[in-house]
Amino acid sequence: MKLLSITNRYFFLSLLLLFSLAGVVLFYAIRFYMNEEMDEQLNAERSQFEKNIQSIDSLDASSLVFLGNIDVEEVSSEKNIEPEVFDSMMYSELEKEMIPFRLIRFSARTKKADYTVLIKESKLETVDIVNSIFCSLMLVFGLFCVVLYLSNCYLNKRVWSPVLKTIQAIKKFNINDREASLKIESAHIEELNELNAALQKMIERIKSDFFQMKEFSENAAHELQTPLSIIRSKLETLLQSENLKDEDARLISQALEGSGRLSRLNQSLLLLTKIENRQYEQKQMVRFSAVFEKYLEIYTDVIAEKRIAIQMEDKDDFVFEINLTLADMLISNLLGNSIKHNNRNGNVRITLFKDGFEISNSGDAPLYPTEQLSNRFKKGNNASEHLGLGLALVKEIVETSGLQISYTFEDERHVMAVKKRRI
Amino acid sequence: MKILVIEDEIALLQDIKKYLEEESLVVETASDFNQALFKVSDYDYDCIVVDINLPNGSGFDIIRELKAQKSKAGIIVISARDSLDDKLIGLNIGADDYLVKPFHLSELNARINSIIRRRIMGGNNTTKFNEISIDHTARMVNINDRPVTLTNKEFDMLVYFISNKNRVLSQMAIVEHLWPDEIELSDSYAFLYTHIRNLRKKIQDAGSFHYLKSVYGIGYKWEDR
Repeated sequence: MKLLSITNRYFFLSLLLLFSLAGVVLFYAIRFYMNEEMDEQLNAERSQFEKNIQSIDSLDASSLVFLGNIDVEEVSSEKNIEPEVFDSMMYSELEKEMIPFRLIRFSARTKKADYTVLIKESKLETVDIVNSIFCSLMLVFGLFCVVLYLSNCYLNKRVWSPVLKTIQAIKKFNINDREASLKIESAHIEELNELNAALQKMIERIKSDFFQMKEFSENAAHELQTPLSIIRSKLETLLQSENLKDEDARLISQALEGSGRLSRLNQSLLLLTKIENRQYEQKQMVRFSAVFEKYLEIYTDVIAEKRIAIQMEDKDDFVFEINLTLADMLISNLLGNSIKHNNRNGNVRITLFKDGFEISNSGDAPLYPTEQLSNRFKKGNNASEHLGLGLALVKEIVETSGLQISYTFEDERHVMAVKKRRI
Repeated sequence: MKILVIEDEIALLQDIKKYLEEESLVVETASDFNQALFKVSDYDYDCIVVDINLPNGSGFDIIRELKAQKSKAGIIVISARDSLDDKLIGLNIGADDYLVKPFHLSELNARINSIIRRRIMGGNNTTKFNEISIDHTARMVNINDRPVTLTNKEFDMLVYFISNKNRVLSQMAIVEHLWPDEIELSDSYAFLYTHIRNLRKKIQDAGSFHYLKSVYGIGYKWEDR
């Protein structure tokens, strides 16, 4: 959800609350003041009426017809009631329907008789006023919403556009590109300029750290080669000595194996840093069917030893512009992987398409979720000797060469699919 | 045969010297650029093993100096740098071979043997070991003067064993020599055993002595009787 939508949501909610509260308060306040006003008027009419009838003998109902809103009733005994004001629904001749009235009932006396008088006043106007106030309030609320929405759109375009530009610039930024820097236009908002400056500074630092790290890991891997070769030559020399016990020789041999694995691992790391450092830039058109054939030939002995059946469908060929060394590494690792993690008497199926290729092999179900597979150093159960650097290499090659790779495990088969990346 | 080994890592230099001397080669050493330059200017060698990163200079410059002198020595570069560029530079300026550290001493020895054969022996590129004679150019093997048909791998294996005769060779060293790309693929060295067995059988069927001994838990040894 966008920041503006969130602020708007709270703004609208509070506005709604405010307006409904204001509506209720206004409604009751207006009604209260209207009643007050009406009561005053009724009382005034009452005093006027009382004053008027004091000097006459009796009231003739017909003389009151002209007043319309006054009913009188003669009462026999001298029964005095307190003036009383109340609401009631009554039929109005004028409106031809039941409408609310405000009434006052009181006792009045002429010279000779006692009366109970009822003065009524229509409240229809009051109700109308309350209604119209409520409606205009709603109108104002609606108008407010529309204005707010429009101003938000404007804000989004004007005020937020530098922020959006910054986000775009960060998205486009590629840390692997040595030349690239974060290009952000200066905005006329002070805080934003500060943010941009801070971002730029941070990215410069991250970039320099990043490249230093890469150079360091490449150098470190290089430096490791020399002590590794000393270890290896010492162990080999030791292995040749005349009076070596069998047990000692085996220990030396195992240490030699370990050093071998270490140096292969180191070489893979070195390769990885080299690819990451973009040291394989020279590209050419490569026919992948030829690369597959080359490595199937190289791996003949291991394939034969594990009794793996190879099936290659190359009606189409995948021809792609890529660095030849990287193409070799990609295929040797993928093919090697499909042989290494295969069962005895298993099979490997290679299918070439116009825009990619697929390599699948039989094998045990993966121990890790598929998306973790190419994270470095993940390994399966029985292949404890083999570190998963190969897949990390594959991932890196694919990413730097404009390809994409997907891995799935279905129908008891590991399937690696490499395709041209859509831009 | 006279060999010059140029390597600044003394510990490694000693092992190389010892290993090669046991092959009855005369080994001279140099551990920095100036010393190496002095030696190549003053003496003739049959083969020179040179490291690229040297104190005070680059091994490439020593190769250029050798080429300027029109030296006939075979040159093997040993380097921790395995980038394609370095290899290409090395081979372009006249090195015969490029070996990436870390390497097996037996591998270095086999390569020195191969270079000496090619460069020094001229057209006569053959090796004799008792009743076995190997023609490297035609890749043919005769035992007791009768030809024996070997596969490519078996042939390479035989040459490697004879180059490193009387040495204990670990399975890893053999596999790295013959199947450099496959070493990481197999869970075991089982496929190596298949090839060893076939080679043994072919040699013995041809009436040769049982030279190829197994060293339990380690590897193999080509042992002269």
